[in-house]
Amino acid sequence: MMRKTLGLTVSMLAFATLAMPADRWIHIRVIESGPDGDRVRINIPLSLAEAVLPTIKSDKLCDGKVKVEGRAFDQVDLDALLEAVRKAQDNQYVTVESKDENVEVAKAGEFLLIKVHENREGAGKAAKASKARNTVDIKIPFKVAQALLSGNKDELNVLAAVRALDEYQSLDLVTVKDESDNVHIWVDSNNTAD
Amino acid sequence: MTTGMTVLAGAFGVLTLGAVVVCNEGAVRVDVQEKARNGEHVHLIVPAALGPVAAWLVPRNKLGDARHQIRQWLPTIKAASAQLARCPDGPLVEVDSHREHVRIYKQGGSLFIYVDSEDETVHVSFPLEAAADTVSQLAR
Repeated sequence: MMRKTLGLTVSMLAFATLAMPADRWIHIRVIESGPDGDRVRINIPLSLAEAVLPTIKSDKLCDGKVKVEGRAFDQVDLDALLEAVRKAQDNQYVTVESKDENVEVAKAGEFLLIKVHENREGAGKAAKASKARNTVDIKIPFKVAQALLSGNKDELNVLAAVRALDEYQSLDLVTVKDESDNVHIWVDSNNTAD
Repeated sequence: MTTGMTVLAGAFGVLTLGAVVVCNEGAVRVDVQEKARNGEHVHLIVPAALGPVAAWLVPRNKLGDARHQIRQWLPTIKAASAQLARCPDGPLVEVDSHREHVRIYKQGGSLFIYVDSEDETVHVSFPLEAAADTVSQLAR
């Protein structure tokens, strides 16, 4: 009887340990080009951000919400717009082609994709001569975007967005590549950036 | 047992207890080495257990406005310390430039800060739990 109870307890503990989700980490890596370029790597557990954000009470950031200057979101109901796009079929919804850059906004499954790619044809001679092409790729889950906009019209709910991010095992959020910098922001279960 | 033996045993007991407390709580280490010729070298190791006691002894009027500011950030410091303490060990911030190298990492319940600049190298480490207790005492 004693053996059975002990075995059951050990099994339950092992199952509970396996079932517990691993901590998610948000990583920020900034690498300046060139041999003397600065390198910055930041690894923050999402649980730390979740614990700390509600405790900060400053003018710009209070209770995990960032105040946005001006009346940025007053004219458009972004939440309704996002919900409409989320429910729509996968597609490239916005395409802006200009002399200098192409901008694409698309929906792919549960993600909103924003791509800004520099257009070499329209770029100046110096830019054309440079091998690097400036690109910005943003991939935001609708859940995270909606959580971010879940506060008042003049604020971004960063805490809710962080909590929503916690559901994703691994996610590339932002990649920026230009002539001077390479920026990568992503979430995964590793506590190191490499 | 003679009186001398009793005093000696008592002193030994107090020392042993002190050593146990110090080992259990860890230590605050500060090491600053200036790189200039004849640069100063400051090396301090203070038992972390003394931090809250020292902070408690600081006269309130000497802290002035700092107390109010610390109090404002106390919940943040406490939450960050508690959460960091349960995080796995590893690097939190790494900055490498041609002027300086900065490392902030967590290891075994302590936070380590390492700065290597053109002028000096600075190593600071402190147990996370003691840091929160010390700040709490300063804010009281």
